[in-house]
Amino acid sequence: MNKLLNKKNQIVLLLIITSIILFISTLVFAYMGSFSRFLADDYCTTGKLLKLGFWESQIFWYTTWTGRYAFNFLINLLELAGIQIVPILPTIYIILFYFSTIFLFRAVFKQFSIQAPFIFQVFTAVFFVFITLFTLPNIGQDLYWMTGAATYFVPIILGFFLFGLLIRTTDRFSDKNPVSKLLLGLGIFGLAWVNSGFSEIASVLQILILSWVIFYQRYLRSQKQFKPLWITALTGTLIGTLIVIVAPGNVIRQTTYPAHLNLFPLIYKTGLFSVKFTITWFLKNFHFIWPAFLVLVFFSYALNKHFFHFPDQTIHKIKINSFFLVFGLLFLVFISFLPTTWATTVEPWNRVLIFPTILLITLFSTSAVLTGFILFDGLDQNINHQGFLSIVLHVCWLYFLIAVPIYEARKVYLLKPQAAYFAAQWDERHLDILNQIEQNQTDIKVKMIGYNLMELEHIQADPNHQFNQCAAEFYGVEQISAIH
Amino acid sequence: MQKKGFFSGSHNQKIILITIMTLSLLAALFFLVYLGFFSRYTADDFCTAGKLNQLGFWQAQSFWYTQWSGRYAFTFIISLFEQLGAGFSLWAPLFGLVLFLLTAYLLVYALLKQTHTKSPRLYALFLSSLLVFLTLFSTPDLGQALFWMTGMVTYLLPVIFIFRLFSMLLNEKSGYAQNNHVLLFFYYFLILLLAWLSSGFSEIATTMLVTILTLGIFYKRFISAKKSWSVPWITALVGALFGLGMLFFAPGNAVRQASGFTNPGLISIIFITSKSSLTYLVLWLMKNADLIWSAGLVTLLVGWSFPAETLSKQANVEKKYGFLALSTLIVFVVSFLPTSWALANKPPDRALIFPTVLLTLTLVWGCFLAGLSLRKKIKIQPGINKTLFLAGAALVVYFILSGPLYQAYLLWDQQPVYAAYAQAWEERETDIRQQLAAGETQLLVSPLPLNPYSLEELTADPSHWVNICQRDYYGVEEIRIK
Repeated sequence: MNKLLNKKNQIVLLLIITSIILFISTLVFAYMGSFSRFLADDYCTTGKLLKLGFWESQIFWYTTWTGRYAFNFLINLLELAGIQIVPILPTIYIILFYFSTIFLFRAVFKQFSIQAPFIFQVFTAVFFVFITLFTLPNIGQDLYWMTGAATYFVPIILGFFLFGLLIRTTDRFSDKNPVSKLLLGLGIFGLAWVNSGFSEIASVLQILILSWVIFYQRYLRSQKQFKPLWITALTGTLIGTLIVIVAPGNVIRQTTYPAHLNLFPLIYKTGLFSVKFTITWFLKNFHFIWPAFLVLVFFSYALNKHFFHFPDQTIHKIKINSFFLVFGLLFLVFISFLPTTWATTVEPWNRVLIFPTILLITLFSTSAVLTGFILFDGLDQNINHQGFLSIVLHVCWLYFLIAVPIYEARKVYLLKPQAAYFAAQWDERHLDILNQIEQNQTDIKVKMIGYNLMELEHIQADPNHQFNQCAAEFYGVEQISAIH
Repeated sequence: MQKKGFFSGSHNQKIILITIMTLSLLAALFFLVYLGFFSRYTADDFCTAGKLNQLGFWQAQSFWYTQWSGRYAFTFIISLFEQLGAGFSLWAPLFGLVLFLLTAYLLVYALLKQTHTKSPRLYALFLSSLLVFLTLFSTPDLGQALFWMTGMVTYLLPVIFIFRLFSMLLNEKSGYAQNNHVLLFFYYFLILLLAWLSSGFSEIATTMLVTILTLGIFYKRFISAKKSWSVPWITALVGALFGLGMLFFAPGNAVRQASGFTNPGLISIIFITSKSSLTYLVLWLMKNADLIWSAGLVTLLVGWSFPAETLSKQANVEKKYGFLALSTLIVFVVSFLPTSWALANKPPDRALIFPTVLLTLTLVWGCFLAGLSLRKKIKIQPGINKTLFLAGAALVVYFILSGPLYQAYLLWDQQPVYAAYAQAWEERETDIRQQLAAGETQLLVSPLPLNPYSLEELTADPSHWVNICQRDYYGVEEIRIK
């Protein structure tokens, strides 16, 4: 019994319980996502798909609206499955986000030769997903809305898989046979290329990260060499970005925005927006950041004591690299605002802020884990009176579980009535439209639906409104309008 | 190995960090003072002021004691304030806040002195500012507990008096009076008077005070190392019990209780008290998790850097703090008892400032002690001091931004609501004065915008209690809104 309850096992038990509760709390988003329905742009892409067919639709969007080829492909693919896929997509994305995060984190731990137990790797991944979902500025449009998720959430999932794969396979690449090398190279090229076709911001960030790592590997590491897989990934990304940039549709889309800014106003505005966002994110989410930081520090410290095995000088390296990490991530946050500021001259939509949010979470959680390492290195490890400390820490841990994941999930769950009401109204309206179509009506009048969780526009009173026209195309009728 | 604290920079660096934190907390509190200047007479303020105008100071005391409530200290002080005119309601929040801060400082200073340090003034100022900040920013109804004059006198003033009482009881230096009979008499009289006054504001405060004093006397007699009866504490208990008796037996209670008193029986009282206290505890912990985590950690770091070496010298530390924790829990639960008994319900939000003060005091002092304890138990490797100092400084900066400054910023959003209310109130007051000057006795006035304190306002019904109170206050036959 004593063996079962030793310190090591206690830490593992705490980690398991924490991971489970964090995981369960994120399921609230899957549940709320089940009330998602077609909205806004969803009608436009599906309408064109129904009208033009799959491949013609790709060409249409590429030549008349946007170069986001991977997005167009994926959204049409999803739309082929029918509207019933919309409520289950958030769940699928959350699951994939978990897998990709665990995949990436395992690779990172391995890369730094940190022999952390598997449960800690899972815990950090669950923690990352948890903080991301709860601190996103606009979860409705990033996860629940089909178009938004395909544009902003999917490139993050694929990006995590890409970097996880790169980290895992780089060092073993030279040992592989030529066929495996070719297949792996093609796979990484393909993944990097696909991932560059969703959003301009994701592409720019991917180029920067890949370039920085290649530079680091070639000029800063002790073994100064080019890594072929990273260059392959960069090539794929550059080609993909080029395809996005040269798309004829961009010209049409760009006409809806003001003229581009000059270099200095562009840098100034981008800097202003990114600093404002960073400060706001840290202030608005400080109810997550403080407890989450402490809990991560605690687990990082405690696991150091019982599990981690570092090679010599790791802590010293961490201290030096963490300086670059902080500035590197803040620079990437700045860059993530650049494409939108360049294209629109105004602050990005909330939904686009998923990219800097991910970067800030990386910054904050890495800082917490590193603080745990540094504390382990700097505090006397034979702390006296462990009973007292142990009680305090357990109370803090329990308080964290109740006040953060459980309470915050409850707050999200409280929106259920509005979400369910919207879904019921939408379903009712959809049936009404189908009935009217069955009666051969071509000028459809439907009931106006009010608020939706995604805070998006949908069918309006004006039949000439952009989304009314998209919906008319989707339902294959002449016009459609909503009445109060 | 070093036994330096967490802020292991130089002494000056520590002082600078703690000073900056204190200033930011004071800045957030100063913002409350600013909002307080939008306060005006509302609801009950007119009732007490009306009776004061009608009956005079002492007759008003007698009236309220025999006709409505035994809260003798409240009636006395609110009448004193109202003697100064309606304009004092603008200054009342400033008055309350400054006194709250001052008495919190004296209490924390007395507590810190128990750790036998030479100069804890800055630490006392920081901890007391934090205590006041946390209490006011986490209390469920700040508007009615601070900005509304009647609420401030009923709920904040007893806290102030009780803080002063305990700072005197904890101040060991007062023993100097032992050799001088006159001083000793004066000292005991002051304690008796303070305890008696503290008991005359609110039934909840009085019940809590009696419980704390009883537990303190029990501790001193049966648990502490000295095991003796503490005369100052017994004196205070006598004063508090006398005050409780005066509250309880006031003839006005019978009138007031006729309007909704329910004694639901012992089992129900226990059930309601347990349920409402537990619910409030959980909700407070959940709703204020942001402030609790950040303030808790920062206080722990300050405790870790505190130049005290006395914790290990004290005997029975575990027993002492175990008893303290249990007592806190008992007093917390007891604070819900009077309302369970009288209303078979939880206290109104404004009265929850009492358990909130208890929770924040426990948080601040508990984290500070935990920091002191860590200082004794954890040794820091010499090479890491600078890194830890930088980490501590970064946390402090984040606390300043996300705690006091951000909270004040959030409150700033409400400033237009307060300002609009104050302006409309002034306009109506001018209108009323003009009607009075014109010899009108049946006043018809414009309605005010919804007041930011969620209190009842003048209605169209002249027999509504607020209308009646304002009628008395302005000395007219009738007043109502258009």
